[in-house]
Amino acid sequence: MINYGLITINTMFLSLVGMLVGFLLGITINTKLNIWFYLIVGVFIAYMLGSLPYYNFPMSYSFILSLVGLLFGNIINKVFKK
Amino acid sequence: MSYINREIAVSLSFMFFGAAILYSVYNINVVEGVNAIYTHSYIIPNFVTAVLFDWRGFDTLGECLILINSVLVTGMVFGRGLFNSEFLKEVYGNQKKLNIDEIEGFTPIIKVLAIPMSIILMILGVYVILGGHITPGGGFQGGSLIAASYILAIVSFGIRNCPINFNHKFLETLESFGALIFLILGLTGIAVSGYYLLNIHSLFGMNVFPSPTGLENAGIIPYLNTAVGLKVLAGLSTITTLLSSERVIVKNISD
Repeated sequence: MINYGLITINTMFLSLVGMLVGFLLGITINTKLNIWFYLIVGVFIAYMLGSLPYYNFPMSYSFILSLVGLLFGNIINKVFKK
Repeated sequence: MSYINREIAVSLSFMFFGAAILYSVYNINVVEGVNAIYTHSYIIPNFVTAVLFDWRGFDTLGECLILINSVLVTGMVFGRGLFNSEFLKEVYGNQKKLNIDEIEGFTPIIKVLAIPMSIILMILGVYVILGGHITPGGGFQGGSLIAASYILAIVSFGIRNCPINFNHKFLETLESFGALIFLILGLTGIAVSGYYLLNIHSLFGMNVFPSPTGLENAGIIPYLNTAVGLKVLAGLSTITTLLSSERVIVKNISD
């Protein structure tokens, strides 16, 4: 069983702020991004970075969620541009 | 002869400063002074951030205003509000007219690699901003990383075809919001305790910044970090945009 760490609002709030900042940046990217490529590379980098101190996660959730926010922002940008 | 004298002077100064550094490193000794206050009044694990945003929050606000000033000055010299075009006419006036559509830019290898690197660098910047209160890093460093990703995209694709479109309005909004969030957080300090930029840990019995056990005293520092990060990113990107828009400068001079 994989240990995902304790997921509560206290531990995930930082990542949610990151998601918001990532979304802000994502809506400015005009080119189409390959979502699977970035998710796989992002999970690998997040695993290598490790979680922030005091956040006992197996990988950096703030990095992954920021990336998800950016990709989501990019999709929204693409939808609204059409 | 003078060449030899210079060599001797350089060697002597190198030896002198090297010996001084080695001597001071050997005799390094932590004196209980200001650091005692920081270490005994536990705020957050990263003392540098505690000093920057809690003990000397006003100082950081001043640093942010310096950045705004530098952006304003760059805008005055190179942007639309040309202050003194004589200098620019000297620099850009005698250049051959470049047809920007004919410039092909870098090779596909760089173009293919630039976008993934920019995206990863951007996310790394967000990560550095977020971890500012517990790890080495913070708003200034993270904002610079995001601006660096923008610069990488501009260098690879050129300002016209740049896939990262930080337009004027977006940068202006970010810059204004960054500064405004900082000022408003300072005002909440006044409202709660009477001191500007006081670090409020909890409001109405709730943590200001929900954090895991051990980080309850982070208070408004992560928010300040994010605000500074947005501001630095907007400031550096604006300067880059202004400096890379050669076409606009040439057009402005000719008017």
